[in-house]
Amino acid sequence: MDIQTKKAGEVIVLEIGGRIDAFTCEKLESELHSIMNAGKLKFIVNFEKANYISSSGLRVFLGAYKKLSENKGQIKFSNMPDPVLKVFALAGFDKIFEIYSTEKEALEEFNEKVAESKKQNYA
Amino acid sequence: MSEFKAKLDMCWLSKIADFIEETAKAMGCKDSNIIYDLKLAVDEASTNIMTHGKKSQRKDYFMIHMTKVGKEIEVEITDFGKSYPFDQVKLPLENLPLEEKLKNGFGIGLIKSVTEKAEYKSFPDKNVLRFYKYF
Repeated sequence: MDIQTKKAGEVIVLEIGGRIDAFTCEKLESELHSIMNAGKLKFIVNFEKANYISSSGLRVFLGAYKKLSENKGQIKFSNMPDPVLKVFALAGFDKIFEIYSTEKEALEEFNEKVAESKKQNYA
Repeated sequence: MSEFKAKLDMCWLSKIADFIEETAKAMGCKDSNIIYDLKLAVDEASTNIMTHGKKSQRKDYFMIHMTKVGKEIEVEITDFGKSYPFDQVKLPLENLPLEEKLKNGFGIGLIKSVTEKAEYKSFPDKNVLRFYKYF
């Protein structure tokens, strides 16, 4: 598994490549925790280059989702290949997580929320 | 029939996946979705053996056998540790909260979901998980 990290404003984008299984998910969990512990609370996980996920990977995302929810953070997902989306759906994760077709759409959703928040502050 | 001897180490999961994919293709299965389901089922079973049953294993490996019968692939996984409650996991799991679902044999639920039929038998010296997938 390969993880590339980039910033898009306040949002951290993780581009994951390869397999997310019980062996590799420790690296993913460590990366997510490290970024969250640095105070970053907005994530997009781009699965375009991921070719596999097992229940071990789902557990990592559930843990991150819970921790972020407790701290008013958010995690969104994008570019999921069909087999990966199928595993998310079998777990019912497609109903609680925000899954977008593209990274751009996920980022726009974050930006719209920031704009709405600013409008409310000015009102 | 093809067989694979897997070590009780998580770093073997990708080697196991390669074996499943190569063997399924050699058996005539070209559908990438079916190969994915086979890899997922074997991965979940292997992870169970490597984690929950690892301390009780009497051997430092487990065996995977793949057999083609017509348009069906049969996968048999034999381990030598403590059995796990395969039959207690019932589908569907939707009525459980997400966290509980992942705790309560979600991997086993996935195996049952993505295969045509899955059965588990425990013997004094080994456990045998067998499942089937049409292609």
